[in-house]
Amino acid sequence: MPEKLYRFPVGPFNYSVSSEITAVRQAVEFLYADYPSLPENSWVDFTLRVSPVGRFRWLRRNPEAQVFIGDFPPFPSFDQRISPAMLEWGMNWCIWLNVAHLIIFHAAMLEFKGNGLILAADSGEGKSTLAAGLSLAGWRLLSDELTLIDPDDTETVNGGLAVAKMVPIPRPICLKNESIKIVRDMFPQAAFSHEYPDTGKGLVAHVKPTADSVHRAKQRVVPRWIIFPKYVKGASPTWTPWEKAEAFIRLGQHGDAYSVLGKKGFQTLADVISHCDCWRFEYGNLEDAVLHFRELGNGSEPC
Amino acid sequence: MLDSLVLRFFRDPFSCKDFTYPQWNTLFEEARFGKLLSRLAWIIQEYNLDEDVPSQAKWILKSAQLRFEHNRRQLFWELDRIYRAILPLETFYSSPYGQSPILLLKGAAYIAAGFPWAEGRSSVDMDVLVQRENLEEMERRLLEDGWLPSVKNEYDTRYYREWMHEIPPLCHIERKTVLDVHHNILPLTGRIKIRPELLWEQSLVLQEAVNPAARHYRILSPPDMILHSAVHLFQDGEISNAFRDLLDLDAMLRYYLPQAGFMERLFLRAEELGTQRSLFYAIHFCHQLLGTPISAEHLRHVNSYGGNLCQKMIMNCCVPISLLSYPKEAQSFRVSLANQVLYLRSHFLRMPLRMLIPHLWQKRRIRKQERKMKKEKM
Repeated sequence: MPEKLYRFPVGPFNYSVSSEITAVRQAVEFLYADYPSLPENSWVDFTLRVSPVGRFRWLRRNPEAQVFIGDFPPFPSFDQRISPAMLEWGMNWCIWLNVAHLIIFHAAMLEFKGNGLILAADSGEGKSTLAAGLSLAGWRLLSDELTLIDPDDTETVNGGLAVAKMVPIPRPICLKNESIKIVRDMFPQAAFSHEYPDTGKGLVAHVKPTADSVHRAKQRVVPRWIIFPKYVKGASPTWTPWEKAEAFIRLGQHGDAYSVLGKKGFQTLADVISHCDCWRFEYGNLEDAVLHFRELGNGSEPC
Repeated sequence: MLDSLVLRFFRDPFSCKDFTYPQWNTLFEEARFGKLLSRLAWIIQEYNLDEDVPSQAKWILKSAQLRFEHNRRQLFWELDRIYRAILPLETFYSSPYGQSPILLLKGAAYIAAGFPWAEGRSSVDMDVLVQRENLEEMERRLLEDGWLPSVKNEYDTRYYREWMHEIPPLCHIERKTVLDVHHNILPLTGRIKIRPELLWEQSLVLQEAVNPAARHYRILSPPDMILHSAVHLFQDGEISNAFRDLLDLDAMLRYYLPQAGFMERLFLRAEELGTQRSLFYAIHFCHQLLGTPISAEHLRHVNSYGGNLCQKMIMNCCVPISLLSYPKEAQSFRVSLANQVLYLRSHFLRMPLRMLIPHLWQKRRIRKQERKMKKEKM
């Protein structure tokens, strides 16, 4: 019996996803409901499959499954119950592993009134929570996890600098542990997946991206702000200017970022940072952050 | 597997004109796994096949080429850093070849020398050959520069130092690059013993290299490069998923064949070094799988280096399957079996049976211990 294949584009990349596991299919049908379905003979960049694995698995109480990209498993097998969460990570992994013609680093990207925002932070610092909050409060989501910049697609801005554009790859936003409740409480209308416990990063759930983010995925923008957000419980919102040289080093730290592209990569990232306003932002609750970012988006200077 | 797309492509690049989208996907996947994607990208360019690549797939080839360029830049940087680490060179002048005491092997050599056929042939780890008398001093200087042995347990360390032809692989503490330092090209415990002085005698200094970082290094002479590659593939290393090594051999043979008398020199050298059997396998499989244009006369000559019928049959059965084998998950029983047979063969060639059995037993014990320690940690 032919397995159901879900084919959909995420920005410039076409994915094909299939699974024998019902929970995975249900999760995909829910989270990717707004994505256009690609015809059968389309080009596919990444073929993913989540399959049950392990000998005598029908006898086991906690059967395992594994993600396969083509025929290769990118990470070890896991409890079958967390398969949908692992599929999402597998989809990120495809980009991280294979894309070298774009600058990539771990950061969320969003857009508001034609201006791009990059939220750079380490894991666990609140980047995804903030990205989720902003995307549910009117910002267009471009990505919650990986920022992609195309050195060959630039726009000349005031001052004559050619600044490279961000490449949207909007997908469900991954929230962990306490963030799930925080976002759910603030945005009761948000569409959440099931919650998956014990994933290795704790409790994980995904927020469906807004239809607008999905439908406008081909629209690229030039980044305007690079923000380094930090969630500190109880802290009042504080903006601190971020030294551009330091921002450069910080962004460059994540993986190969620009070095694979050599001089061109270096120059592209340098031009992006030169053009952007760079800030550190410390905040204690999501409501404050969303409010502050709205003002930023509307043209106010942070103080 | 002889229905491999990667084999089909490299044997005849124009075959890709008829590929469907799924076939292109499989081709890229096979190439990616076999570390051949950048080579594939280069061949597509060389043969003007850009128009035949699906337009949405072009980013894959572009990415592969960019990775290769990056890899090449990194290599030259490493060559520069390693050279500085081993200075002052005067200490090595007592041995002949002391002025350029490091000889590059395989991928590092091909890229450093700038061979046209090696475009797109990425090389992540570096393999070098040094003279045994310089080994200790070099190791000390490399250690001072941040190159640490990557092997931790006592048994493996002993395995390398006493039995093999290389010290434990070194990993740079900051840059994380890996350096394999050899003092011979075959294990000390192996059946075939090569005298490394013979290799050094014919080696060439890369004085004319385009990149200055390469000019302090040596490479093997062309016949020795081919023989080393053959020996590494069929005598020393793993044949599983080593299709890239066969492509190297094919490329080198095609590059040097037009030189008058080259094959005769190659045969003579193989006899001198004692590597005839590996040369036989190299030429036999290159000709069979990739159509390398070896003349009938030369094929007959090299056949005389082959083993008995039984050995030829086993190798004919197992090698093509193993060269193009996939990762464990996708392997059928047949492929798995071919890999196992060749894996055992390679160990058998590296050390006599009386050493091999205790060695494999010891390795199994160590692996069990490590697994237990890992579980306890979690």
